[in-house]
Amino acid sequence: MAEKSNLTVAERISLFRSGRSSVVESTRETLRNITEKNPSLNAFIEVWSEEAIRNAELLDRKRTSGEPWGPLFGVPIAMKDNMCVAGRICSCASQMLANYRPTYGATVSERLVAADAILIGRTNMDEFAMGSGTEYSIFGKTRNPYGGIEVDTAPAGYSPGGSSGGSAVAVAAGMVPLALGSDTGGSIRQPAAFCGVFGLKPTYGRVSRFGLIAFGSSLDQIGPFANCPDDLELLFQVIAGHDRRDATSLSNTSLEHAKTKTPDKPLSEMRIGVIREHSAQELSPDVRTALEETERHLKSAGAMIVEVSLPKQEHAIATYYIIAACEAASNLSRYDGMHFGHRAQRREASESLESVIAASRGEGFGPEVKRRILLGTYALSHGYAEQYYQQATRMRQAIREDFAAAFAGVDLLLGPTTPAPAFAIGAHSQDPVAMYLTDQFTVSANLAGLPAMSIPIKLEPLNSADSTLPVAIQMHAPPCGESRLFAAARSLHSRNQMIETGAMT
Amino acid sequence: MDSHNPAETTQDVTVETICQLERLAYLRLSDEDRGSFVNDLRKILGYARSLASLDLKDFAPQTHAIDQDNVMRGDVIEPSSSVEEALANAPVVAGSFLQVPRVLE
Amino acid sequence: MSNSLAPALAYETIVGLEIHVQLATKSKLFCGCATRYGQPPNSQTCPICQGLPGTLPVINQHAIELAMDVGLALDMELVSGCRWDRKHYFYPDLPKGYQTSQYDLPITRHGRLEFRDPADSEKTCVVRINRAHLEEDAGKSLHGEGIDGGTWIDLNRTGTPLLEVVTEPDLRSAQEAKAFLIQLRTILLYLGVSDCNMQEGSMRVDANVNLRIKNETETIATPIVEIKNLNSFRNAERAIEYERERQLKHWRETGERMGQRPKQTRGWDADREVTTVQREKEEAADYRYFPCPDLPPVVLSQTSIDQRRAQLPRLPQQWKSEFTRTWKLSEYDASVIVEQGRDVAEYFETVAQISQDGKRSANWITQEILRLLNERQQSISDFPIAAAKLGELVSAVSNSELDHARAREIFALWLTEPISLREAKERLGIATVSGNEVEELVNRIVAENQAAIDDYRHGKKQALGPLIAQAKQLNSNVSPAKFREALLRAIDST
Ligand SMILES: [Mg+2]
Ligand SMILES: [Zn+2]
Repeated sequence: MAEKSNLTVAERISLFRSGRSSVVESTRETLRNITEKNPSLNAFIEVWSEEAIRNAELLDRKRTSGEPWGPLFGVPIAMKDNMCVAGRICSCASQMLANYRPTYGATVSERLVAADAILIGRTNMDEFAMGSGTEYSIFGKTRNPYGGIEVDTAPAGYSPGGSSGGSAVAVAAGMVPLALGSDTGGSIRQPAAFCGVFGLKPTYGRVSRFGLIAFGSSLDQIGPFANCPDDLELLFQVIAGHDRRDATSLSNTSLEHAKTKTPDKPLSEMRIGVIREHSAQELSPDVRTALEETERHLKSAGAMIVEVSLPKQEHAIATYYIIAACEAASNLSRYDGMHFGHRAQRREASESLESVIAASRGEGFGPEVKRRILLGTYALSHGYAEQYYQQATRMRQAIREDFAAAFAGVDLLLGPTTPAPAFAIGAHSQDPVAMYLTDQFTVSANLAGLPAMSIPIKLEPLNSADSTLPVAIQMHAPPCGESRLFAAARSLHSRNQMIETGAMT
Repeated sequence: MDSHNPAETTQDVTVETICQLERLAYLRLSDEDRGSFVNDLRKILGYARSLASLDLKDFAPQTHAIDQDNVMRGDVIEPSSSVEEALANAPVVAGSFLQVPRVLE
Repeated sequence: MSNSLAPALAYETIVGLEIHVQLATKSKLFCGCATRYGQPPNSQTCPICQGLPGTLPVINQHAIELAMDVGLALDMELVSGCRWDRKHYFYPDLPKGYQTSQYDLPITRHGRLEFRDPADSEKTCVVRINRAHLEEDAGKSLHGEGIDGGTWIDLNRTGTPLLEVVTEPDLRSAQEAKAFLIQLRTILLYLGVSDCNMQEGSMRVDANVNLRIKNETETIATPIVEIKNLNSFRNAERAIEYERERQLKHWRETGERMGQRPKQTRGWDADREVTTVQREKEEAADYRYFPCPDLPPVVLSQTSIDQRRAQLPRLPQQWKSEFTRTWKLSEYDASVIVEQGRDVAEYFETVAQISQDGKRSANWITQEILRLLNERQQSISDFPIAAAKLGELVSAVSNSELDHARAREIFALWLTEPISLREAKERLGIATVSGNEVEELVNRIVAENQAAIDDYRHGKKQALGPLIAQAKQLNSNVSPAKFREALLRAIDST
């Protein structure tokens, strides 16, 4: 196995500045690295090698032309396969969109190109971002680079989490320094935790959703993966900002307003609340010690630790799954095989439109997507909307109010990202509710629109082999308080340099 | 999907329920799928049922993650796609039209 | 009541209307595509109105403004925090699988509209408006065009802004429904919110019709029928009328009441002049409405409402009272002009202002111009005689500089020649006759017609007629009125 590249983004760019490497050389190295590692991990669905080299050549020409460099000059970035790049297939890992080639690009892809980044390929995911293990994909399962294969307990290896598992693995395995994912109920933070990388779900509205294929529109948010807080912040800064094509994108005025309410602070002046309801849950001993270590470290850095309560947390998962399924069922109505996407073969020439649409959807969607469409259709249908959808939207407000009350007294919230480190691939395949429960600590940030980050804390050795699994914690900030998360992450990172030492065991 | 008793929700989900949802959602399932989705939906709704009985009148329904309003654009014409681009991903095309199977009235 | 075979029966026809009005925005409701009519198929779409994955809608502010105008004009409440909802159904000309519409919080609701009772022009009818909500239009399906009878889809119209105006069931006849529609269209045209072109589908009408039959003991309602897509006021009137008779007959045959059968959707077959069943569903459609998470609510501040109100154009009723008050028109003439639309009203106002003669201006417009416009299939903006020129002409007639017959000659010439009043007079040999010339003419006529003058003096008033005709023969430009005046003066003074 090749060495994991330890270079930060800043270090990479300085190599180009000093002339010690060209962008083409560096890009070829990235492509070699992916070619070597991808077969065993299945992080990438497609690698855009030719286009990447062509763009690298253009950037190398720019190096000598004196033009200003973008902040991600020559940096390879992996895209989750639910963000459109003009002219490239964007499939959502679904049969429905297996050949769908948008003529338009997502705002994030355009911003990345404008920042001189190199879009290197699209990464595997759960179909339509519905899942927590990157296993519901027509392109097969993705494997966590950690944990190895244990014949007894994890014969297929460990899950990278999901749904942005491909992007998390691409960064964790050192194939790329940066990747984008999307997070509807934890789909960035949970795989980041399982794969030992930093993952941020920004405040709802900070990153444009234009060109992100929708799952739950009021919950979805694009965010970055990186191996260190500096890189994470760099990518976040490039993709964040108002977009007139997304009516839910935060206006500059709203952003200013939120930021005055959530000013930057050094860690030493922060009050950090530990979420009582989260730490009261059944947590694996690894996660519990990681939380304790984090608390000790934050205290030693001068922060004040207090306990806070979010009393409605027990209802977060039910609320989330109802709202997400309703929005998904609605958003997925457009996949009828009539205008684009998979159309079923007619069984006879006279087969009606209704029948062909139903067959196209039946063939085009996988089991988890169907499950959510059924659930969402049920929860919105006549006679049930009141007790399911309506109640969920009211509970959503209650959860928001819980957070607002908590943030009146603290600057950040601390809790687990997941109840336990990565599970073995296939462990929850037979039980959707068990799979949904792995998101129990992440969904409330989406319901409340808050920024939240998963921060890797340590690698825990596994019993039966000389391999390890990452353990992480999660922090929440008030709206637009991302900089507080970066401050905390930097402090924890400088303590936990071990994360950079060797993933590919 | 008319009258029903909330307390029986999970038991209410039957193969017929799934068939009705299939019709509403234009989603064709296999017999085998139907059986497993009955179980899944019972489990998930059983879990979600806790919400139905709560008194949440004091909380206004919240359908958006952040509070913003009046986000609008001016009435300005922007270029449309070319016909070729517009039909680029269409499964079946007839001239400049999308073609779909006949509609049952 | 017209059925002579059956015993007299007391019943009322109950009609409620839903009118889809295409708003006159340049671009679509949620994207920048143009809203032009009649473009080549699928040439006026973009990824957003095609509903392609990952695209997002952004509201066209002008559509909101136009909807506010309608709300203000119809005395409606403007709903401050109006929301957008998705209405789900599958149809191939609805690319997203849902229509973005407004369900429980429409932009405006609870208004009223008054119109002249078609049965009694002294009376007015009042219809309550339940709501008017914004929504996006669907595309166009051309059935049976493809091989295997397949359907062709053109998405050009998809996403065009519509305002759906829904009345309460307050109308009591087909004639009332038609009169209401005419009045509504007049208002919409004055507001400039729509071109209301029914052929192009900018205004589409659905009618809900049933009967309330009274017998000795109770009032029985027949099942409601919705007649879809009535594309002219005449068709609306005839379809409702047909439906009244059909329901009456059906009730006599079956006694079927509301609730005993599901709501029927029928279509109007204009060739056969019948309504036919389109759909009869056991289950009410389940649209699974829910708030669109992609669109934040629209909050109408009092300031923005006041601003819009201040900019509201004069409405038909205001024009009418202006015409009867300032220009002394009859209620009837004022209505005729106002109902022609804002351009004709403005045309009249210019003519009247220049001529300072409202009645004569109105006569020219209602008797000459409207007839010509109708003959020539022209609108007033294309009419060759500008309002200012007609004003000059009317003024000349009012001041007795021209007689009506000569004015008509000039008017006729102007239809083809873009020349001035002076040039027209020259061309037609119309010269202004001076006072001296009139005096000379009087002297000559008096000298040559002593016998006739004596007759006049002896009470034979009609003796003057031939004298005036003679004068007109001698000088075609002389104004008969002026000549008559001078002649009488001469007779009196001798
Ligand atoms: Mg409608
Ligand atoms: Zn468009």
